[in-house]
Amino acid sequence: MRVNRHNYEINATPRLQVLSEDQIEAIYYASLRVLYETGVRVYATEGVDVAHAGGAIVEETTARSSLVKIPPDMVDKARATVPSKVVVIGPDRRYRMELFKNQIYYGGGSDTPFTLDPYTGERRRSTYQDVKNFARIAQALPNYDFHMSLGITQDTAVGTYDRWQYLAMLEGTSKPINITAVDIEGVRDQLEMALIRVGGKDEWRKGPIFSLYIEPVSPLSHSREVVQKLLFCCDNDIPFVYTPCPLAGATAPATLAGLLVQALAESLFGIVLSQLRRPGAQIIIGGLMSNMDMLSTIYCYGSPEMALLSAAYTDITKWLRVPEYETAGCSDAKLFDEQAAMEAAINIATSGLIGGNMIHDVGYLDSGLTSCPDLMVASDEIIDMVKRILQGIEVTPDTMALDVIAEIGPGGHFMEHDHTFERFKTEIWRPKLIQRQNWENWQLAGGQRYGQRVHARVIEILESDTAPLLDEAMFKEMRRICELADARHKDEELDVKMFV
Amino acid sequence: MRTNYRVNAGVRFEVFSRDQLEELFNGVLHVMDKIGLDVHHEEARNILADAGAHVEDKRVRIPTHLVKRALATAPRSFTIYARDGNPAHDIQIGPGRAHFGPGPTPPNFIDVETLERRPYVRDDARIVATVVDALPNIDFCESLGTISDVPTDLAAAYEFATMFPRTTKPIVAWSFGWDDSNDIHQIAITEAGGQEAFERRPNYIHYCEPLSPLVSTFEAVDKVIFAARHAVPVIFTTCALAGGTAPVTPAGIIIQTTAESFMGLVLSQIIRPGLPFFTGGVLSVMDMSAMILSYGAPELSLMMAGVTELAHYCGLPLWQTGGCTDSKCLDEQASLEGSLSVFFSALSGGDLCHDVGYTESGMTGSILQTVMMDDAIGYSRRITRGIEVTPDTLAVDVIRDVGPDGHYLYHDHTMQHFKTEFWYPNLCDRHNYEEWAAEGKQTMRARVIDRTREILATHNPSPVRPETAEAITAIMAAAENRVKNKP
Amino acid sequence: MSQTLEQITTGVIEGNIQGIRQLIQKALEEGLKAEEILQNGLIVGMNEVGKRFKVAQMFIPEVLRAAKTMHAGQELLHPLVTDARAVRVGTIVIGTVQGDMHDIGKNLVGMMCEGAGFEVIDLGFDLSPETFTEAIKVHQPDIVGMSALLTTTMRSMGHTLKAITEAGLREKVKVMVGGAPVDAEFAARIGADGYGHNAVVGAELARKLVEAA
Repeated sequence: MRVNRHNYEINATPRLQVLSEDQIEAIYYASLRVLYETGVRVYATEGVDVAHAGGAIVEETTARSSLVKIPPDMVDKARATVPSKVVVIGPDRRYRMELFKNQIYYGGGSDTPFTLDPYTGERRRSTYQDVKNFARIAQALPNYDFHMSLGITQDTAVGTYDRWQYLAMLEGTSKPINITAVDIEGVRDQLEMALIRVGGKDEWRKGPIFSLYIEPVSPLSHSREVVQKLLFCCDNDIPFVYTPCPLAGATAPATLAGLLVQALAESLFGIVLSQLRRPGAQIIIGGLMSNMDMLSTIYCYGSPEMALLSAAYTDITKWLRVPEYETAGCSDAKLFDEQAAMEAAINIATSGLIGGNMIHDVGYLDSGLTSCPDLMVASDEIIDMVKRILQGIEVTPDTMALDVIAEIGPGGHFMEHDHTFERFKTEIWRPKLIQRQNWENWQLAGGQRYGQRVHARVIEILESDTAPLLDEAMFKEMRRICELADARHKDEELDVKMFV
Repeated sequence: MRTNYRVNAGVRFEVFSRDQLEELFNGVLHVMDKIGLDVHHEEARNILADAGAHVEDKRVRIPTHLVKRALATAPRSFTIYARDGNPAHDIQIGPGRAHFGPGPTPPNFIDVETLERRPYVRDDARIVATVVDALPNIDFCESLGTISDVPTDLAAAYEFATMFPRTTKPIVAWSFGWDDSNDIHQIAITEAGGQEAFERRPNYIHYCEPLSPLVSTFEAVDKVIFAARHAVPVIFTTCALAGGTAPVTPAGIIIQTTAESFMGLVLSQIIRPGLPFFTGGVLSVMDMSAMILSYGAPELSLMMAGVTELAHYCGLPLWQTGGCTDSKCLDEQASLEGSLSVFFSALSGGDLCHDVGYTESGMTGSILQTVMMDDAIGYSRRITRGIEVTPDTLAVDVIRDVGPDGHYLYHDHTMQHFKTEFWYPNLCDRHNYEEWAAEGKQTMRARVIDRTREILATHNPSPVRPETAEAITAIMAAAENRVKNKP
Repeated sequence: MSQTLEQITTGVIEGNIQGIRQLIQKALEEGLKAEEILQNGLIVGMNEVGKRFKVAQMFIPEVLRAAKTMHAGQELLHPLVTDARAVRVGTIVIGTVQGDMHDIGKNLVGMMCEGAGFEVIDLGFDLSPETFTEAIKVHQPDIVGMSALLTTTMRSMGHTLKAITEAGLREKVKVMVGGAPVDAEFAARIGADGYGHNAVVGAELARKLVEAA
């Protein structure tokens, strides 16, 4: 008789771990020391008050800020209520992100001042149309699960760019979006736009269609806008990403472990503040962690340290059971070339293996200053390849195929065997833009480099007809919100055109 | 102090659980014992039969106890030495250490000057060895081609004779048979100072390639016998195609190729217990529309990582594959495919990862690809090195010193660590846009070509001893005569 | 050349802050003039540092340490020279503009400017236009340097320039701007005198601006 196996462990997928549990604990307790002994600077009285009421020690208060020290028990309390899972769902409800331990989703980054023009290849200031284009590309690519603007709209009013940028994204994609905002008024306007898009508050509650990107400043500094945005999100059921961008050797210790300690202290402050404001507030932590290149002083987006730190931080967030905001698909190259392919391939693989949840910045070049449609398209294929690896290897009597090997025997071939025929379509990954033809066929097909094929795909997406995602009335209503914001802030703009 | 404290020295990566590995290992034993392999070498069959294998015509079935005995005698840790005694070029095989190098025998080569694809010639072996010697992340040497402008039977011997004086990194040699294996070996032992000295400090490895499925060819077996009799560390591995010459399922191909290697393992350990032996190979899929063995497929990375774990589970070092591509030119596909397989090879810790520099699905060798992958290997090694967690690196006091809104640029802690914590690339550009534009907006491929040519123009590998140089001339002259007089 | 001067040059290159004071003392005791020590010792060292950085032989933490050493030497020589401008090429007021808390780039520029011989008055971050105009009145700088990391706060650069003009101070100072999203075209649009794409270029630009004045 056939007996079921037990006491038998299976790796259903490959597993990667940077930090052991003991190492994670060492980092965590070091962070608690930093929070309590060094403290964080908070530039918003409303935030200081919330922390103080929750038990924080407030010192060195100036006209603009206070030093806030968090005792460890406050962190324990916050950890008890912080959600281990956050859900964001696109306006098209099929696009769903369930952010919890080891679930992976890929998407862009946001607000790069420059875009590589898809037609000229030149670097220039990003515009509304670029943001819409990026959203359309993300919509067309199956491995993009959420979206961020990539470029920042710079041909609209600067102080209210965020509303226009959101509108441009909504024109192009119905996937979940991680937005940026100038301030809480900007969040409020975009929330109003989102409610129009999704059909009201109840629908929003069933599944918020955006999360908000909030970035405290390293080291250990929480600005007024940052704290206000955090509190606003807590009050309004908005999931948010609380993500410092520490830079090893410049705004964080040069040792990677030290950077993790500081970044975690920065994130934990966000967890504490949000849970004090509203237990259960939906926070995603993590961020962009990397090193300063000590020869050029750039913030490295393509360095191995970036990939390694993100992965290590994911280990920590898995231990904490808080959703993670990972980074990958980005490069320090200035155009989509072999360097961009190399850096993106390895950091996409690392982020996927480690199981970082919301993996952003896919499509970034040039140290996060330039967005590149070609890198988006190439990364889509890289992610697809990596996902094949992440499927792992099944070990069963069927896959071990001992009977098949016996049947074929030495010197035979497997091509015509049923075992092959029934499985080759599912076992063997099929590339889209990667080519495997032999030399002669490749030459006959024009002898193109991969970059040329990728670029052709970019143009194909941009020039394909797609039905509008927003009906006219909806678009007008949202546009009105943008225009009203412009009118309110007209006086803050410069007399000169800043960019274009 | 903290006790019972476990750290990850480097990252940890695994494809299989222990239970799955045991299952796969039992699958290999089943193939060896119940299905058997065809061994096209009478002497080998006799040796195996004498040791207790079941021989029936060409079919040889190896009982489990013979496999286990071979596993017990084959070493997991040993050193392959740089021929000039430079310890920086030694290869220390052992747990957790991945090494990289090019591959053997493609017919074509990308000319470093014209960048055209053409047949591989003898001078290309000089080019490959010189560049390999200079690259910081390439640890061993292979030629990336089969020399076309010498007598066919001497292609392998000429290749070794050409490369050996141009690099002190250990070479993985191949050969056609006994005679040229001996030519190669004579060169190597002359430099080492005789057979006995070579046995203490082996300075090359021999590569033998049997066939899938389950065929130990005469040549492959003859060479493994030569290697065992002369104490040459040996690789005995196949190139298997999932869905072509092996089961389409990864678990099946891993079992089959491991069994194919194990025939060489058992034979070599019977002849010389303790001989360093590498299992492994090239495991990939057949592209069902291009009808090629894919060197860029994600399955290659996955299956190679899997077979590496099985080898390590058995206590053997592994012949890995990576840094290769199906692309026909130096482009983004070549980079992304090569980088992925290099990265997974580094993660799995496969002991010798070869084929760094294979393009066009193994049809064309390109040292440019090797040079580009040198950066991908450096990149991967920085990741696999992981993160050190100590009171010093946790830097709690440093964070307090600097405080909120401060910076770390001046801090002694930064000075102490920035060179070792961060990796500095050779080819990945990190200038800001203005500087990059001012320098002519180069792509990485342009930098790869520049760097390759610069190495060739400036790098002078440490020479062989004068007597070795003389021996090479004499050995090759004798080999020419042998071939000429061959009926 | 004097051995001590060579040691001073090496001291700058190696960033030997403690040693540089003793070496300068020694040079003075040997009878060398402050101007000589500056020109043939310190500045020679700093020029070498600049060269090495450009060919990737020195890293930024080492450059900053050299700059700090240079600055320490200059401070020591300052009271001893007849032409103060030989030691202090000028004064620069720097800060990150209103709405922006990011100041690592600004810090780098400040340190490089010190190494280039400037007296640097760092106002900090999130600074209103009035803070800049007040500082110009108080410190009478040759140059004002503004930094921003965000596209939205780049606008504050324009507002600050306008405030400087309206306060009647625009003719008195040169204005340079920098920060990741800033470029030369934007600098021109808002009427700044220059843009530096990194800290080293920023310090070079500052020198050029005072030399041109």
